[in-house]
Amino acid sequence: MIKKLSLLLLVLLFSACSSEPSFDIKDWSKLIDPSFDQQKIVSFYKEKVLHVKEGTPAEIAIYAQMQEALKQGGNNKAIDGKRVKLSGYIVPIDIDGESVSTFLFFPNQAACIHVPASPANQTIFVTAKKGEGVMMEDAYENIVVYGTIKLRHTEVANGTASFVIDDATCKAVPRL
Amino acid sequence: MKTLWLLTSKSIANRRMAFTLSIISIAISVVLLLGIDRVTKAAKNHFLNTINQTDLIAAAPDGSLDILLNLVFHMGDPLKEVDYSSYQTISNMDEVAWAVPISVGDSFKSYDAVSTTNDYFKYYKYASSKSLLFSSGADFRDFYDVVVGSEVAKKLHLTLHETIHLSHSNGASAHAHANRDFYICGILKPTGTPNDTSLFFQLKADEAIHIEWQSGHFVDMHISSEQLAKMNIQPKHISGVLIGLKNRSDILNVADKLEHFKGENLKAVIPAKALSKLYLLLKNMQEILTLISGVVFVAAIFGMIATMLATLGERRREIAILRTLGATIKSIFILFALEAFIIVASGILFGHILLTLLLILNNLVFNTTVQISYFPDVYELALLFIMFISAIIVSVLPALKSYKNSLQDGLMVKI
Repeated sequence: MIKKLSLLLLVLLFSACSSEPSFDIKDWSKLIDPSFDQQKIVSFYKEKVLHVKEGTPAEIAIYAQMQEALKQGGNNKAIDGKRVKLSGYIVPIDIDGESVSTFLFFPNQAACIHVPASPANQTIFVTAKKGEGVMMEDAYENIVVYGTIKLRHTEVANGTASFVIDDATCKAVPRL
Repeated sequence: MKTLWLLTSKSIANRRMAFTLSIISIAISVVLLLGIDRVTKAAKNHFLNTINQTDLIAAAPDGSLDILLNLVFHMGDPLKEVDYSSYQTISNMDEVAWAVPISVGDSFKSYDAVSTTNDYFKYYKYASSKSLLFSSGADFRDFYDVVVGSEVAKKLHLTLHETIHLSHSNGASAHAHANRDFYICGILKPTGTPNDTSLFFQLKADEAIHIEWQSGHFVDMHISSEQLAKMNIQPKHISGVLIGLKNRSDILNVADKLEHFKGENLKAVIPAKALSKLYLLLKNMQEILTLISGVVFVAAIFGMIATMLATLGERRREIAILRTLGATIKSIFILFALEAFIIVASGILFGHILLTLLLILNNLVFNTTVQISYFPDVYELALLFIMFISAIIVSVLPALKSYKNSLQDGLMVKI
């Protein structure tokens, strides 16, 4: 009896130790619709572009269409409402005191600088919990964001749905 | 312990001059250390809180900092102009919730005159979504209406309905638009932003008063101000556009669109992103300044120790007498630690009083819009604590020296 009880206690203790809130999503690739095939879109437009003349408006139009198709490329709707822990880089949108309270979040630094903008499924609009934002001095550092991801549809006519995290907690990854 | 206090104070009273100088040097280093910290913090907050809720600023291609400094802080070299039609196209874009055209370049008695529309007062936000408010009057009603910032009104003693004349371009030699009377229709409340030191008038009035400026010269066309107001002149050029979006996650897409704008080359700046660059610049400067004031403090501590060591000669007999009367080594050390304690404590106190006086004086004389706090924050308190502890620890040095001396010295006067 005592043995069983102590075993139970041990199990309880262990589960208590590992009760650090678990995160369902830790990887940016999970945000992409699994059925979305980038290669297929690219090869489709590549075929098209071969039939028009270089530098003509028709060619420019095809590239624009491809850009658009790649952007439309699926948000993984299954992850709506999941708890996430993601690492990436930010573009500050709102500053509150000495911290960034609202920002766009990307998997890599290049997305913050280069155009065209990252596809919607690799961009998250993050609003930090009060006092949990990114310190201004960390604005160019690697940031980890904890929170619940949601898919928000916009009122803009041709706007795509976008990922948002409200009440997020943000931490800068210490540089080694 | 009470006797030790008494002994310390009596001993100090005997060496007033050196003691006072030590306190002054500590006080000055405290003023420097805390003053630099306060001022840079205030400056940072001032910068960071200047613009809020504006998602993008569109202007002619230039560095993002240049655009921000020009259109928000009214500083730096003028930008190239943007066609007014670009503003119209932008404000008609699907993603855009609001767009405010602004044009900078004119001035009034060295204050910046910004031409815009009433939307500026509606949509411009600073700090945490605070709007611009009027302390008296209201926004533009008539063609020649001017809204003035709080500091402009205060410094130049301007009142509502007063007549003023704007100047063409800025600088001391600026030519006044003397033939065009403007009337003050509103005065803004203080904001702590560059709006306090600016005047605002209507874009169409801006275009109108400039039609008599041909290829850089003033040509009097003898048009009365009333006629001019009725001429229905449409703005042609602006300096930039402040933009708010319907969906803020679209910022980069819209920025991308603007930068590939048909008809005109534009640059779209995210204000917060540009501010974060400015912050890094300020941070580096603050670090250097803090380093310098830290060095000043170290010098002050060494100065204190030097005076303590220098006065040891005077105190030889004092210590020797105390030793013969039975003072232990512990008492001698406490004696010196107490002295260091008194010097640093009063140095910090006087330094703080001095700093507060200076800041009050600064606010009275310069009447700046930057709000500098009078009270230390946690960081500063920690800094003071470190100063305190290090000074007391270092006081061991003269104590040790004096203890060694007292072993060799007798009560006899030696020359």
